Amino acid sequence: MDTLQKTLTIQNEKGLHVRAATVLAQTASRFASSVTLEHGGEKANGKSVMNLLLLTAAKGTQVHVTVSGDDAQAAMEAVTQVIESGFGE
Amino acid sequence: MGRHTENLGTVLRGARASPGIVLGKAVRVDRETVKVEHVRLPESLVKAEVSRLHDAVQAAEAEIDELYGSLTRSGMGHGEHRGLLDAHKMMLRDPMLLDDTAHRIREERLNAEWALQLTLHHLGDIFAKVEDPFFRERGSDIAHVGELLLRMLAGGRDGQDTHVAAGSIVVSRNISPADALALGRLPVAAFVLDSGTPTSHTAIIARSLGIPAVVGLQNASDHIAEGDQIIVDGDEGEIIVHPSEDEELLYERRARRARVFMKTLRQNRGQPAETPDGSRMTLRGNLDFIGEADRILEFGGEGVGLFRTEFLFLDRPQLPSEEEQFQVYVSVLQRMNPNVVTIRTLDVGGDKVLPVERLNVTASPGLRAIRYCLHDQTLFRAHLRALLRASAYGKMRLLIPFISCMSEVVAVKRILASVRAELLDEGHPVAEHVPLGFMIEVPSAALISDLLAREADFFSVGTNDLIQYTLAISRDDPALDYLYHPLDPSILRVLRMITRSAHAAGIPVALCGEMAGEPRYALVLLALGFTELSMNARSIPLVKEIVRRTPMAEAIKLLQRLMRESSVAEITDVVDSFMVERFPEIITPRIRGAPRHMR
Repeated sequence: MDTLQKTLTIQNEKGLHVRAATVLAQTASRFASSVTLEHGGEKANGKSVMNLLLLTAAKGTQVHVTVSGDDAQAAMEAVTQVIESGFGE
Repeated sequence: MGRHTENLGTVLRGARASPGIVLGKAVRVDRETVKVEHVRLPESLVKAEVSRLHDAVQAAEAEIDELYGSLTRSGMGHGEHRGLLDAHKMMLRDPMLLDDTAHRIREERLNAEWALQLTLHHLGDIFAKVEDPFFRERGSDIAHVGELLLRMLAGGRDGQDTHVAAGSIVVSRNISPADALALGRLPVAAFVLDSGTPTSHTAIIARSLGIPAVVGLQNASDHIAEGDQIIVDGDEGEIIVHPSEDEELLYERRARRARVFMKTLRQNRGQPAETPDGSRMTLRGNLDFIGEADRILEFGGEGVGLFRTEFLFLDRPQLPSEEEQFQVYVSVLQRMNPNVVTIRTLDVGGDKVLPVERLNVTASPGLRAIRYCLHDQTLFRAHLRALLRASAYGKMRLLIPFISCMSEVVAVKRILASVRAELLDEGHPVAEHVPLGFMIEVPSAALISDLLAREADFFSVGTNDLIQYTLAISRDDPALDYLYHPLDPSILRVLRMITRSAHAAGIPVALCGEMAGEPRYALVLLALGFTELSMNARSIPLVKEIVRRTPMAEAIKLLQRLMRESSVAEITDVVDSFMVERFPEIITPRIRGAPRHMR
């Protein structure tokens, strides 16, 4: 079991709003590993849209991502890709 | 009846969410009154209760998939709304919702509804505390998802709204998209909602189902009781509570027209405006605000025939930069692609005054449109730069307003060529050929239309001004009203002169005044030889229907009769009686002297 960590910046105009949170949760849910996002002392389950919304991460926010599990490598790559692509907007 | 005959009903204004007019009885649908049973379960039933919750989630997912389908079939399954449905679907299986609810069932042995209700309250509290309003409002999505789940737990689709009869008018503070779909399937006659906007999900569903809706009525539901008689006017975005007999009659008449409109729209939206004997017209929409672009396509228009650029320049403290203009033009071109977008260059001056004073240009009534632009070339060049840069992003035509002599044509062409060369030098892409057209709205331009046609790629006739200038009247002088008539023999002749010039030069000739959108003139314009009409988007279906049902030969015969008449009253009578007889469901007789809204 691997644990990977990384800090990423939310780049899209509206921040981690409902559509972006949905795309992120959909992506994270494809993997067995747990995905956790952290910002300003708050932690959120990356597979929960509601939890992600509660991070209230606006554009430019730095989020600390922790991925833990057997497919951590692939999960981290996928999560990084959606965040850095601005959730395909 | 009779109870409110003396008094007019109460009019409440909201926003147009879905067109159509109906009269009916109100049924209140208030979600917050839904009673949730509270049962403490015996240990033996806990497991079954958890799987009941999971079954409800599955049923809710199926419901959302059906919503998808319904939106996609109506061509609205795109963008933001689709994204929201995706979000709702994810939320159904959200650990914060599902795990928490299952936990309450298992640990506290609550029935699923009760457990879900507690979880929803808990989530509602959390979201209510969020400081950023943008994120706080998402709490309403969770509430919608929760309602959907509660409804599925109650036995699915029709379980909860048994008190709502088909044909009633649903009055509510707010209903979820899923509820709107369930009620729409009954079907109900209309939706009246305190909250929401024309772009909200529920509004889109109402439109896709063809059910009239007025939303954003603030606290209208406070004024409406169960069983109240109401008129819902989705075309105007208002409702009338307890209408009088007169109001009912008036609205029945309008409702009939609205039904004809919707039927016509369904029939011909994807069809060309072509006569049975093969004469083809192109019907396009006028565009004053970008937001109207979608309506043009929705109503079956083939692009934009007149995009007025003034709205970018007026009502603001500063002029728009080249970049801002460029962005706006590109967005319209891309939205309408592959349809043509005809952009009219700035028509300011006269009564439309720029918000800032310009160097070396003193405003005067006649110094407007192209005349103004040729005096203020700094502004004009920036405008043309933005336009030509945008031309690379779609099918653009340029339309120059208020042309009155050849020297203006020469000047415009010289400036255009120089702006184009400058842009290419700077490395900007520019469409190879941007068709250049002239507005024919000054009588001198009509008189030299044969000369202008040689220099133009198309004409567009602005009848509003052309009628005024031809008859030497001003529209705001009521004493001269008797002279303003689109069918005046002089106007028919001047229009024929323009179309003949265009035909001789082999260029398209459009008409973009008010006249174009009036169905009763459609055949006259067809016979006069107009190849394009540009109008308010809403007029497109009815005008198209008339064109599609009349052979060109019949229209020409009508025009020949009109050309023999010498009085405008005679001409009007001939056109009216012909059109009313031929298209009774579309064109109603004029009531002379009746107030405008009664016609």
